[in-house]
Amino acid sequence: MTVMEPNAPAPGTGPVDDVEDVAKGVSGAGTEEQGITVAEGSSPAADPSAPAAAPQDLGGEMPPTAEELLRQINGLPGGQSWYGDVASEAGDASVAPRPIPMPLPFPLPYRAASGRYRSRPGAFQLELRVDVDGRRPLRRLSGDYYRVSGSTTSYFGSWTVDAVTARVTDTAVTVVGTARTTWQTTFTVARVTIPRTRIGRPAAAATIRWFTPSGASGATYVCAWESAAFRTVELEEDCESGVTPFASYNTATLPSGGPARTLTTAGAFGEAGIQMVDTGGANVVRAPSGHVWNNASLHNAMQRHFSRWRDVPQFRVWLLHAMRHEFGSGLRGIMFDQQGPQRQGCASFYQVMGERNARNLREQLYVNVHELGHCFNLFHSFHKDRMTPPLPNRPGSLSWMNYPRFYNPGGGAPSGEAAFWAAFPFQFDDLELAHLRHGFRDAVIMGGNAFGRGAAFEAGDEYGDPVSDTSGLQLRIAPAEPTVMLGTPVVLNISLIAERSQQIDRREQLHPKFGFVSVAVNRPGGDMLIHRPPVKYCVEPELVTSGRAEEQPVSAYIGYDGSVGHIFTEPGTYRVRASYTAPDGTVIASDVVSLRVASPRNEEDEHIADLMLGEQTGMALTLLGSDSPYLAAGTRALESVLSEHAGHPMAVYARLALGTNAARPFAAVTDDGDVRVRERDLSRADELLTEAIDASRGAAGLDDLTVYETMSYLADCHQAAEDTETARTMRQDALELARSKGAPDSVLRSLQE
Amino acid sequence: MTEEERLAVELGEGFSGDRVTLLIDGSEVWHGTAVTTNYSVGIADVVYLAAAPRGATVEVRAGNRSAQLRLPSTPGTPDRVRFRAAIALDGTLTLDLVDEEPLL
Repeated sequence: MTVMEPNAPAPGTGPVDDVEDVAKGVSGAGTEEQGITVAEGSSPAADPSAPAAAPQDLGGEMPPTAEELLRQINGLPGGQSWYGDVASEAGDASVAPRPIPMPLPFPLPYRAASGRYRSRPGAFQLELRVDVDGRRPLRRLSGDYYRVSGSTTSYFGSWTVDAVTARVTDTAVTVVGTARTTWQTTFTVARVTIPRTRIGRPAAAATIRWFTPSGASGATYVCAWESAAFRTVELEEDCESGVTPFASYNTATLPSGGPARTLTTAGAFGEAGIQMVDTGGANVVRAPSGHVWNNASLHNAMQRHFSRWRDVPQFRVWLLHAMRHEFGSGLRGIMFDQQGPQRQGCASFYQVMGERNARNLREQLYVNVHELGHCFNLFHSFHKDRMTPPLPNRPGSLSWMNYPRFYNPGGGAPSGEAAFWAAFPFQFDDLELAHLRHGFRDAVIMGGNAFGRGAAFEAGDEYGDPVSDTSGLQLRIAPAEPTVMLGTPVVLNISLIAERSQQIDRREQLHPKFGFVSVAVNRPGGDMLIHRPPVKYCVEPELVTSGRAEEQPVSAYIGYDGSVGHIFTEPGTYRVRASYTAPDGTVIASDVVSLRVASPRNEEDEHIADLMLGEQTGMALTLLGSDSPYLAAGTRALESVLSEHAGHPMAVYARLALGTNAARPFAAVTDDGDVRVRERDLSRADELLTEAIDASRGAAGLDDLTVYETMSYLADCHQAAEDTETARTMRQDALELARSKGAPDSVLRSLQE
Repeated sequence: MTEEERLAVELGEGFSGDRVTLLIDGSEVWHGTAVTTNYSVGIADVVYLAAAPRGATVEVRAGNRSAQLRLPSTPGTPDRVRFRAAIALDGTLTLDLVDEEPLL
């Protein structure tokens, strides 16, 4: 049997309607049947982590918002549910024969469903991670597939569900969500069912079944419970002679923001759901007195002393407790391994923090966990914007990965080292936790992706965190059109609302090109990028005093990026979020909005999409046209859209760009250094822009703000050409149109200026 | 040696395979190729100079960018003056006088 991808059913097999029946039928060795890889629900593998009790808040049903959303997206009838199997199971309870349970002296709590599960090896083997209860549940699922061939097993790919809907009954926990995957598949909807068992009983197996968004069944895997930890990593701690390595620290010794407990390095990761297992290979690295390490010598020491070292991706990591590094006494630790397969080793330096006292023990713990965090591909909280792809920095993060002195929660709250330690609960922040537990394997595993690469894939909905709730500001965004055809210039409407009168940036400066608002786009393939406008305005902030509850809207073309070019290059659903950095440093995040890019419906659509997605077209649209010979291909593409597809809805964008360019002079520098000016062509500008404006007075065409701005700009151009009467008429027209469409006062004021 | 300072120049954030040259009063004293920031510490390298004249101009060049700063003309409190060069996200190269602070 050949199975090309793990989520699809095996060729020639039909759907299996009752997954639970399959799971119940398992005994002894696993079987493979009708494309279903079935593993036994065996007793748990030996694990030092005791199963945790399910918390109270999982005793009831969670709001099925995601289910409803999925139903809407997929067009499923109201009565059809992804929870169908569970409902059936519950409904059959009164008639199905059941074993008589052994009497218990008192009801024991249920085992947590969260943890790691594994299917038996079939064509594929699945490592499944369920994260819905227990410590800091993130409401996520994730997994790694391994391809099994003969006696070899190799990594195939990873998937993750960023936000699940979980339903809990007396008999089962069912978790549903849509996955992002590292490979192409149409089976992206995961439904995981885990029968509930009480503490003292063997953990039940988890059954995952895949569907397409339209409801077609894919593969099913039954995965035996393996561990309460989401991942298990082997840790080897070696020690330079003369250094007393860190052992543990009681977090109540000095003021802190979390509960008191005694933490070891491994224990800190255990709290994050990452089990650190001692390799048993620890040894002393003998170095001459006063030895100063550098990165090359550290790498060499790792190769020589790390008993599990191999230059391949593996969940094994080395930590050296050393004395000093050539970067100076300020260096407390480093993840030095940035050659070949990276992130396999790190070191901490005791030159300054070696004396045993409470502050040093706290710092030793912090450094050790921090450096190992780098080995898991975590960047500093203030360096997230340096990752590939980047994320916004999180200076207010109370995380192992921040620098205490850089801590700044914004909003005027206490910042700096003392504030950090007073509030620090000795943990990773939620985004980092999501990465550690659910990041795609190569982005997490030591020896996988290069440091910083692919570590932002699980940013998901938390982009923009932290969110201040005391700023009195709200940032709202909406795509100008929720669904656009491939190639359509994507415009985002951005509105800042000040709930109380306060200083904010001038409305026009809320456009991302000024840098105060940034926009993140999560693409269908799973990557996330921060939109970098290709033209950036470096300006001093112009602050204005907003009225109470006043809305400051702008619209921004975000389809073309200074780093990657066109952003919306393939059909699918994109998630967009924006953040605004207020004058006092407070970061306000918007909600996440979705935008769907639809496939071309016919040949004409395809041709237009090709023209609009040309590299120079994107830049020409950003500049609203240009005479530059360097953008000649983009200009030609827009002219082709106009001449060959004048009646197509997309032609309005060509009219906008070409018309705006015609309305202004263009200065070109000739080869001999002279400047040649092409004067404005108001006749052509009037023709093109008036058509674009008239096509957009209703619901179709350009977004409203762009229409007002275009009318205003054209009026200014006529004013500049001393055609005062036309300019006045156009401004009045713009004002009346804006009033009729209910534009906010801030926009009306701009049009009146 | 009272008219000279011990100097450390951190090559900090933003270096990515750059060719970097360090000059004192216009004379090259150090250069490196493929200089790349290690973001586990935010440093690509630290260049130590045993002696640099007080008041001298320290210049860092990275590719076609350049930044310079004068060494203090009076002795500093620490026994070594520390400069940090960094490249911002917009490509600007900066050079600043800094204290040696914990890095991890």
